[in-house]
Amino acid sequence: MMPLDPVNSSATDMAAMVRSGQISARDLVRRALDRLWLHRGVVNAFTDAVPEQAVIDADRVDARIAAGEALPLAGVPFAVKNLFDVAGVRTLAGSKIGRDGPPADADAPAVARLRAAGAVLVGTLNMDEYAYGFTGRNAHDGPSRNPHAPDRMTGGSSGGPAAAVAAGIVPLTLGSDTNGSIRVPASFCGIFGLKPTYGRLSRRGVFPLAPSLDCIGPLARSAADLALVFDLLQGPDPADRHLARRPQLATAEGLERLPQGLRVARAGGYFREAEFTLANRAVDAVAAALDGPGGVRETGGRILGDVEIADAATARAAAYLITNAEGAAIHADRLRRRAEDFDPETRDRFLAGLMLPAAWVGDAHRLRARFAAAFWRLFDDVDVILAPATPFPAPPVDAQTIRLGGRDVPARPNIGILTQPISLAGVPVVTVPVWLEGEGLPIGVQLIAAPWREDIVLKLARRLELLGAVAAPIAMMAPNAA
Amino acid sequence: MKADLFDAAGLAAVMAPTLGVELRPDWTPGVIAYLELAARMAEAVARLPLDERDEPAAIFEVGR
Repeated sequence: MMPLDPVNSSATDMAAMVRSGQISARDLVRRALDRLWLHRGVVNAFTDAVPEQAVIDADRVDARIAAGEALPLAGVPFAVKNLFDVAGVRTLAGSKIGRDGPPADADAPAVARLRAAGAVLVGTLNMDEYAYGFTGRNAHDGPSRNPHAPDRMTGGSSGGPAAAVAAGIVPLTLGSDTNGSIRVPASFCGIFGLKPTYGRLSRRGVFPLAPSLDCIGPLARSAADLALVFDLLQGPDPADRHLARRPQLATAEGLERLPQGLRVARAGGYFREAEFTLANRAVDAVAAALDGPGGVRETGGRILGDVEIADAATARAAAYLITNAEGAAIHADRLRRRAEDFDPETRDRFLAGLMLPAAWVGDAHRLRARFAAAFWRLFDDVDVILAPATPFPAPPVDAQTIRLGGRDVPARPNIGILTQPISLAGVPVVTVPVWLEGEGLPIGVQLIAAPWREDIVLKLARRLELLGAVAAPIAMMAPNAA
Repeated sequence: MKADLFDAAGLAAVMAPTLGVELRPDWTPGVIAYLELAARMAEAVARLPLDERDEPAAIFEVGR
């Protein structure tokens, strides 16, 4: 019998407890709602809670279990970034303007799939307005705060999803990632996050930022939970034109078996600037763990010399232009009619994006094709590339500038410099949380694989957990202390 | 492409009425700063020479 520890457990273990009758879905969900209430003033992760509906849904799950259904996420409380459609809840996408619209009439397919698997939605989560930011700040709802240090930012734009998991309110959330919006907050909040291959998961019913780059994915406290949820989120959706027609990939089964002969390399150059002191140490710690006992050598693999991702800075520039232009186009009408209702931290960038010369954006798309093709060729000689997820651990929650290249630069567009180039190539990434000795805050490392090989990086993340090199402990917090 | 010759303030002044968006005085410095940033990004992209054989990454599949 497994220990009954519903707060500290993973989603996988919680579901097992519910299936085996050790705890009911209703009790599990009540505990999540209690913890949500206890910490709401500290982390500000949630913008809407649905306690009554959650208890009704939990009772339905208990009835399904009693009827003999084997639900993979039986009774697991979860929450989603408030840009996912949830039936009966307004899809805010972090905006004030979204508060004037009607509630969504149906769940986004991603939400519906998790509910069908027995998960119970307890609420929706704070985010940078319209997903356009890396800080987790929001003028309308206030900033989400880092559970490990409430004076520090969560990162964004999936700030609420990362904070809710790190605070132990729910074991599992859904976020979106256009340029790093799952990976940056996963890094700052010390949790696991998966940005799947572009086109892998349906994003219907998810408010867009830049459709050429937008992905959705899970955040959790273990690699096994990411794999479980990733497997459940896959599937056809004829109504989503962006979805690639790929066979489903089962990753949860056999997660602890490393593939034979894995070749792992650190990303050099752009991703390894000397000023990224802690980030470089985190990548080295991950590489050392994989090179040591129980690492990739055990299955005939090896750690290679650093690889150079050519033109990474240029790729980052192209991703910036594509996002700026596509994002602005989506909001053009709102910018004409209600610019004063935008968050000041997104309004200026969206307005600028409306005015970009078209050829800049056209060239960015052409560059993307060339950059991505060269990036994918790297995987002829390597299976996983390691790179920091952020240049540093979480900055102060109100930081307006960060130090990069020996000078102070605006924080909002620059925190994601290490995730943006990877987004342009569209490849899958798992961010794993590293706790360096003597440091109070975590920092994430990106495990990057070839297109459609989420299985490899999920297995590697699991191995790093087993080796003790990465972990996502729940933050120690004083209730409602902020 | 020379970002240091880019007149962000001039572009914003022309484009705002063309696009039908309001540029309040306290919003303008931020818009100009982000236009200048975008120009530096465009300059970086332009440093990697592309030619007519470079197709855009976006895919349009007829009938889907």
